[in-house]
Amino acid sequence: MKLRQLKRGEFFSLLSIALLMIIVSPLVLYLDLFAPFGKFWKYSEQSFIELNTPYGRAVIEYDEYGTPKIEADNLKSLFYAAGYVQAKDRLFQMDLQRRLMRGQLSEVFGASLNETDEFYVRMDFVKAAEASWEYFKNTEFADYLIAYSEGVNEYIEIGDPQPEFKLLDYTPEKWTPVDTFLINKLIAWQLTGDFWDLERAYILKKLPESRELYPEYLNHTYQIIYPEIPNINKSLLDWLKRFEGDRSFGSNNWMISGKYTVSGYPLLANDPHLSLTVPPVWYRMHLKSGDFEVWGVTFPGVPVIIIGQNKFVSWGVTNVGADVIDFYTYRFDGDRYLYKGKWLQVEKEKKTLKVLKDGEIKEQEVTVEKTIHGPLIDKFGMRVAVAWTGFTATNELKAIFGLNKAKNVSEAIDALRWFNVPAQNFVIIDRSGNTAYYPAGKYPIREKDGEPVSGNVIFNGSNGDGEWKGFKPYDVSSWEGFIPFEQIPHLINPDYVATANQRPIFEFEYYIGDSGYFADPYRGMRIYEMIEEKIAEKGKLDVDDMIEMQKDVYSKPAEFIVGSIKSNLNRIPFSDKTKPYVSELIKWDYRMTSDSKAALIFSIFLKEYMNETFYDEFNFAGLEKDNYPKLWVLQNLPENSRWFDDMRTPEKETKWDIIARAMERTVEMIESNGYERYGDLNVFIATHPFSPKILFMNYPIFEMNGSDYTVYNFRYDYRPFQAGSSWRMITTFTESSAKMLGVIPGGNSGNYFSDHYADQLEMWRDCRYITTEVGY
Amino acid sequence: MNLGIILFLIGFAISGFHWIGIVLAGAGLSFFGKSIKMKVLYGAVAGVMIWFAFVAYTLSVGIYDKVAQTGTLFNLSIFLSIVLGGASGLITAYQTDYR
Repeated sequence: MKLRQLKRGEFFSLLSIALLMIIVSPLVLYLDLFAPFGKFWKYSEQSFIELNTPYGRAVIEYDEYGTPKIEADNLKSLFYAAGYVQAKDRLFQMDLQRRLMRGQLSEVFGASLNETDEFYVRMDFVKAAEASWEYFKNTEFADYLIAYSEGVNEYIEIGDPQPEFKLLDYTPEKWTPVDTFLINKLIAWQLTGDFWDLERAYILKKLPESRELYPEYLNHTYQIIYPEIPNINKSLLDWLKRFEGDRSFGSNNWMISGKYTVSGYPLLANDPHLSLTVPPVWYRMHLKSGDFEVWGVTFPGVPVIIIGQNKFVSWGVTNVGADVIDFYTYRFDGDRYLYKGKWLQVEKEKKTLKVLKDGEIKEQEVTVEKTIHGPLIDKFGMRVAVAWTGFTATNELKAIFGLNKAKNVSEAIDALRWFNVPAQNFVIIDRSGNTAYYPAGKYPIREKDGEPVSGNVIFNGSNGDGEWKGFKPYDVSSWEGFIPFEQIPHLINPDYVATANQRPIFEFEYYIGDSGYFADPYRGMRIYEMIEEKIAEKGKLDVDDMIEMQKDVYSKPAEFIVGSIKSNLNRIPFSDKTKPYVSELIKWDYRMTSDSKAALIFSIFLKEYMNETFYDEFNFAGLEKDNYPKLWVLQNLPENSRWFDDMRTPEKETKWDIIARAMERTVEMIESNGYERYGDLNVFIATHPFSPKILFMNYPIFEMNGSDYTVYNFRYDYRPFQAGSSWRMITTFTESSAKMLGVIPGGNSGNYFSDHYADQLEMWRDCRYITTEVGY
Repeated sequence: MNLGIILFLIGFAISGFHWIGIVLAGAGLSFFGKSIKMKVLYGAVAGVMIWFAFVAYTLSVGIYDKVAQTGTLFNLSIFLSIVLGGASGLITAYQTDYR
C-alpha cells in the first residue's frame, strides 16, 4: 500500500497537534490554575450566605470589614454556620495548625520539616486532644462542637478552596472535634510550653554564680495584686528551642470600674501580644441565636468567642505565664526506669510519619515513648520526661462556652472553674457594674519529702519528687495536686486592675513560677501609672482615655536607664564620637515613635548594654545571648556589680564604663547601617507561610511605633515571627447597649483575593477601631 | 457565519471555564491566516483577546490589583495565552499548500 504524500500544511497541522499534546500534558496543572480564568484566579466576594443546615436555617451577613454576623434558628445551626464561615475564610490556616500538631507538615511541605513533625508526634498532642474530646463528650456543649465540625466539612466539600490549597494541589481532610482540641492545645503550648527549667539548669551548671541573675522574684512593686543537675547540653536546648512557645509573648488587659468612669459603667481594654502572622491569629465573628448573642474574636478552628462581649458581660485575657510544665529524669536500665522502688517499662508506641521527598510520599517510623509522668524526650544523651498540664483531658472549651453565655461576673467566674490551660489573667466587667480579676487555670503543687518545693528544677522522677497528685497524662486527671480554684489569688469588684504578664502576687503560699516565667514589670507599671495619673487629673475616664492608653509608646526602661545616665553624666567616659548621640537621649521624651532618633539609639543601646555586661562571663561559660537575664535584673544591678567588670581586661570596669562602651557599639551600628530614625529599624514585616518562595501573599511593609516594653506593643525581631498586639479591644456598656471597639493586624479573611485580606492593617497600626454596638 | 468565527466564539466562551477554549479560539481565528506564520499570529491574537477578557473580568470583580501583584503568575497567564493560542493556530495549517 502506498501512502499519500502529505502536503506541507497538513504536516504542520499534524505536527502542531502532536506538539500541543506533548507541551500541554506536563503543563496541565499550570494551565488549569494560571491560564486566563484558571482555577487560581476564581474568586467572588460574598456578603450574604443563607445556609440550610441539617439543624435549621442560618443566615450569614458580612459587614464592611468581612466580619460575619451569623443568625440561626438554634444553637446547633449557629455553630454549624460558624464552622462553615471559618472554613470559608481561614481553612488553610486551620489545616496548617492541625498539621503542625499532628506532625503532618512534611507530608505537604517536604523533608525540611521532618524534625518538627517528629517532635510533635513524640509529644503525642493528638492523644491529649483525644482525651479532651472524650471528656468533653459528656458536656451539654458536645453537640455544638459536632455541628461546628460538620459546618467546616460542608465547606470542604462544596466550597471554593483557598488559593493555598490550589497551589499545593491538595484537599484538606475532614475536620473533627479532636482537631478543635488540637488548636486548643497548640495555643496552650505556645503560651506555656516552655523549657526554661532545663535552660535554667544548664545556665547554673555552666555559670553557678549567675544564680543571682535569675531570682525567684523580680524586686518590683507592680505585681497584679498589689532549685544534682543532670546531663543537659547545649545541643538538646538548641533543638528544643525550635518547638517551645515564644517566651516573649505578652499581653495587656486592664479594667476601670464605674466608680472612675464618665458613664458610670466599667471600661475594659485588652490586647494579647502574639505572633503577627498572615493571616492574623484571631478571627472576628458575631453569633446570635435566640437569647444567645456574643461577639469578639476566636482562633480559627474554635467555635466560640475567646475574647469578647455579650449583652451582659465582657472579658479580656492575658497569659499568666505560670510554670505548668515540669521535667523528670530517672535511673534507667535499658527500656526500664526506676519509679518509687519498682522497675517500670517505658511505654512505647510506633507511629508513622509521611514525608514528601523527591515528589513522592515516603513513610518513616517514629517511636513515641512515655513514662508515668508524660512523654519522654530522648535526644543528645539526655532522657527526660515532660509533664505539662495540657497533656491531660482539659476543659477550656467548656469554660469558654460558659463565658459566652454568662449574664454577670459571678456566672463568668463560675465558668472559669473549668479553665485549665494555659492559665490566663481574666479581667471581667458586667453591665450591672461588677468587675473581677481571676487568673484561672490549673497550677501544679510540687512536693518533695512531703514539703512544697519550687518547680523550676529537674526532678528525680525515680523518687517521685515534685510529681503532681492526680495528674494522668493522656487521660482524665483528678486535679487533687493543684491549687484549688478558690485559693487562686483574685479580686472581686476592684476599682481598677492592670495585668501585663507581671507576677500576679508576691506573698503566696504556693510556687507558681520563678522570675524566668514572668515578664519584666515595665508595661504593668506604665498602665497602673497612666490609670492613676488620669484619675488624679480628671477623676473619671472614658473610651478615649482607653484608646490613648492603648496608643501609649512611653518606654519605662528608657525612663529608668536614660534617667540613670542623665544623673551620672559626668561619671560616664563617653567618647567625643558618642556625645551627640547621648545628647539626643538626654533631651528625649522616652516615646518610642518611628520618627525618633533617640528611640533608635535607645533600642540598639539596650541590646548592646546587655551584651557588654554579660558577654564576657556568659561566652566564657559557653552560654549565649538567649541566656542573658531579664532587663529588670540588669537595670537594678549595683554600679560596682561583678557582672559589669570585663573579665578579659586587667582593669575593673563599673556600670558607667560599660554604658560608655555600649554607646560606642551603638554608634558604630547606627552609622554602619545608615540608620537615621527608629522607623528604619522598627519595621512591620508579616509574612505568609509560603514566603520567601511566594511573596505576593505577604502583608505590606511599614514603619512602626512602639517596642516590646511599651503598652503599644511591637517587637521587630523574629522568633520566628514578629510579635505585638494581635487584637486590640475596648468594651463597655451604656444604658441601652453593649459596645466594643476592636481591630486585628490584617484582615478577617485569609483568602488573598478578598477585600478583607488586609483591610484592617492600617487601622491597627494607627489604633483605629471597628465598632460593634448591640442594643439590649 | 464563517466556520472560523464560530469556532473562535465557541472557544472564547469555553475559555471562561477551561483552557481548552484557548485552543479552539486560536484554531478558529487561524482560519484567516494564509501562511503558517500568519496562522500562528492569528492564534496568538485569539489568546491575547481571551487574556484581555480575563483582565476585564478581574477588573469587574475588583481583584485586578491583587491579580497583577502576583507578578510571575500574572505573567504566566499571558504567556500561556499567547503560546497556547499561537500553537493552536497551527492546527489549521493543512489549508496551506507549499508542495
